Amino acid sequence: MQIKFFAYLRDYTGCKTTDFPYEEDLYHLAHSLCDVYGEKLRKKMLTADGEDLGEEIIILVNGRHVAHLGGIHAKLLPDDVVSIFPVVAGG
Amino acid sequence: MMYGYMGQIIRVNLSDGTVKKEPLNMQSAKDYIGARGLGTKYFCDEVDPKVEPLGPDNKLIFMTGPLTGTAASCSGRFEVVAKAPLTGTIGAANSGGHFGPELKFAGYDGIIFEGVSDHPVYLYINDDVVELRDAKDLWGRTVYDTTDELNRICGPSFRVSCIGPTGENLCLYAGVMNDKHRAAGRGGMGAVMGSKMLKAVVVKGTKSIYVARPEGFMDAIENARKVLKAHPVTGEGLGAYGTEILVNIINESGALPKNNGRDGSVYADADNISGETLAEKYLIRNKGCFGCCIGCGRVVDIPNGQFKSRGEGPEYEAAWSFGADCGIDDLEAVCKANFTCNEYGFDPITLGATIACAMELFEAGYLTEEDTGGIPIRFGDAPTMVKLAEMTGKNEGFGAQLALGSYRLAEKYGHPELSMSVKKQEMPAYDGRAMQGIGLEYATSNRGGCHVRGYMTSPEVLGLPVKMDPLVTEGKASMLKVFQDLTALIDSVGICLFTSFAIGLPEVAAQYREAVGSDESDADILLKGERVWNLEKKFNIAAGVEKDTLPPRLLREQLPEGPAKGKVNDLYTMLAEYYQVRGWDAEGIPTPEKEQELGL
Amino acid sequence: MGKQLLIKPEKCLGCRTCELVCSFGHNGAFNPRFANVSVMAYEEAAICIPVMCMQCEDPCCLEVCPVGAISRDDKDAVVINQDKCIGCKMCMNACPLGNIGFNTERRQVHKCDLCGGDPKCAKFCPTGAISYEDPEEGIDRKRAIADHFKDVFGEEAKA
Repeated sequence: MQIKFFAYLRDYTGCKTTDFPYEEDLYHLAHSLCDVYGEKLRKKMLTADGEDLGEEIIILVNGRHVAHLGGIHAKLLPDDVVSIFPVVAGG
Repeated sequence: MMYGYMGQIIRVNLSDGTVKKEPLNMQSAKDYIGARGLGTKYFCDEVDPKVEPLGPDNKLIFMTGPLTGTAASCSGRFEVVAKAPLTGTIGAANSGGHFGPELKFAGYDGIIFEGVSDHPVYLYINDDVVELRDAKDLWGRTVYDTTDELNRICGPSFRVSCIGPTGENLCLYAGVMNDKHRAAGRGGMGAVMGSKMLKAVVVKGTKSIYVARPEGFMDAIENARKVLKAHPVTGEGLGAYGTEILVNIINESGALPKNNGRDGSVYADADNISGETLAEKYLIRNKGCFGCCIGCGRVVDIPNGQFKSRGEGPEYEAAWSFGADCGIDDLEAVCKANFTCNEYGFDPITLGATIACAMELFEAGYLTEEDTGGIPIRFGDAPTMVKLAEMTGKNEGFGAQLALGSYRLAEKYGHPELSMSVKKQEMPAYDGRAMQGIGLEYATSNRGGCHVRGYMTSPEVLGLPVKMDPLVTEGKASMLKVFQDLTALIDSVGICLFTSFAIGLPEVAAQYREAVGSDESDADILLKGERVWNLEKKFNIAAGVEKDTLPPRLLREQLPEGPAKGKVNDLYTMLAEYYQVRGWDAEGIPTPEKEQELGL
Repeated sequence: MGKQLLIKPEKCLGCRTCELVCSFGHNGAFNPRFANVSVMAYEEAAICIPVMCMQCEDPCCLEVCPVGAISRDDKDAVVINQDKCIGCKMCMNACPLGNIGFNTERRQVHKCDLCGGDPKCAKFCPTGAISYEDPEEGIDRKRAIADHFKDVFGEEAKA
């Protein structure tokens, strides 16, 4: 599945986008991504116990914020596009 | 002893060339705080709402707030207030930089300009010395050139607020420019200044600002600064990437209007104009306004090529207006157009959106090369976009028509519905179809299409302070009211709206209380924000401003793709609820009970 | 050596918070003109530089003071005793760095006194452009170079 990274997360992952093996829900995807990309990403992505999404991350699945899709337990399909941002704002 | 305030304002009658100093109206200051609120209160007390915006009876008010110039976080703000020529609404445009604080250090909370001068002048303020000086040699010169020249004449430590050629030429969206790159940008405050033949205000001061409870104040500001530092947005993201950081997330959310909104709001090339790309390729350094602890300002250099240039910006809104909205993914062209706006002193949101509107009119055949002086104006044509920006800055050729804004342009060519504006002011960079709440915000903003009158992007996309679903209407009216009132409060105390990504009412209210020596509750202080909002609304009603609505595109044309595919803005569902939450009647008019509650 | 104020202009936003908190700490009011630190902005060069007294080892101001009002305190700060000062301004003239100012409201000369060992400018600087540390201990400039070597040649980088 296609994963897109933004802002300083790109420094953690070393890439803007990646084709990543399919995971059936966000919980498994988030953990797999952190296993691949390391502790800096894990610190932003997940709470300390790894059971919930961190407060400083915004994840969209096909443009929809996962808060509206079931949070960390959001179900995923193989052709979903997952976009991952640090909490950002501007205007 | 005055606390927070300097207790004095300057009144300048440009018609007879007189300058007077008068005590600040402390009752108004208590009720309307300062900056946006207090400036608006003075304006509404003194000016007929039916006044012609570019006529001699409109007034132009510069007003600071009680926190301006103090060590409160991001305290460089002040407001420029007048009836806005673009919209016919109350115009209030907020700016950072160093001008506002310096005005207070000179001993003044604000300046009221009345009448019209018969020759170009500038106002010179050096502590107690306040005088009008001839500006004949400055007229016609750019913002950069004017600022440099005034610093040469008056001294390098003077702060300069001025207009560029667009203000002189009465471009309806000319701004008042401060420290060259900071703008009281929207609604045409610069055109009002130009109509008065007032080229600039220069100020230098050596006076002190006192606060009522020094220890309490330092505790309050230290607390607010800690929160701002610790927050990922204000402590990290904005400093690293500027406001442009939003390009990708708004685009991924399907809310970045493309080609004047005609082709939906998913722009495949968004990353090319993003804050990430700006930081990677062109950013030299970030920069802050007075008292800033965020540093969102961009010092940017385009080292070579046809758009070789250097300046500050662009902000997210300009990256969208010159970028996605014009179908352009060339960041160098976007930067160049943005710098042109700074140099000539006008609003990049309205300019970019007006060029985008012209592109749609042209591609639809409503506007021809005969009308444009032989220039084909099509989406995606970066060199033409940059050229049009410069022509508008110089008021040359077809640029003179673009200087009217998109509504008047589209109306002239028979298709006002293609202007993406509310109350004739262009909506900024968020599609109200993909974000229901921001549509309501645009429709109800007291100065027309605007994102800084209650920033619904925060809850709808960013999840600040709570995440709301952008596609639904439920709860948006109540949230928007709080955001609008809080924004009015923040604009009125004299600190930057961006602080509100991290701090909220408790921190803002605490800083205000300790500065002025008030014991009012947080709720009492927020009520002042609501009072400001209602005063603005009443002015607009008396001025005969059109009703709250959105362009037909947002109400009827479904989004073709993205997460909000098939959506339009369900405005009228939200609007009825909004009026109710506001305590207004079904027509959107404040009820007598509400007016009494607010002491209007 | 002990702690001293260090500046890193490349981090400075030009916000002048240092001027504000300095003037407030010494005068109880906000007034950059009476601060012991000033931020100099160079627009073309896109850099801002905070300037303040560096507490000279051999201070001209102390030498020149005709009434012995200037001395070095236990924090290594060169301080003015306002009770002894007669306001002759010789110290302003003597300081080769221009770091002694004159407060026109109080009619007094003023200079950085390190806030008694907790300088407000460093405490409130939002970016760390001003810090108060022992240059021997706070070897962050050396550390930055070392970190860079580590990133390039360290075992992690090789892997």
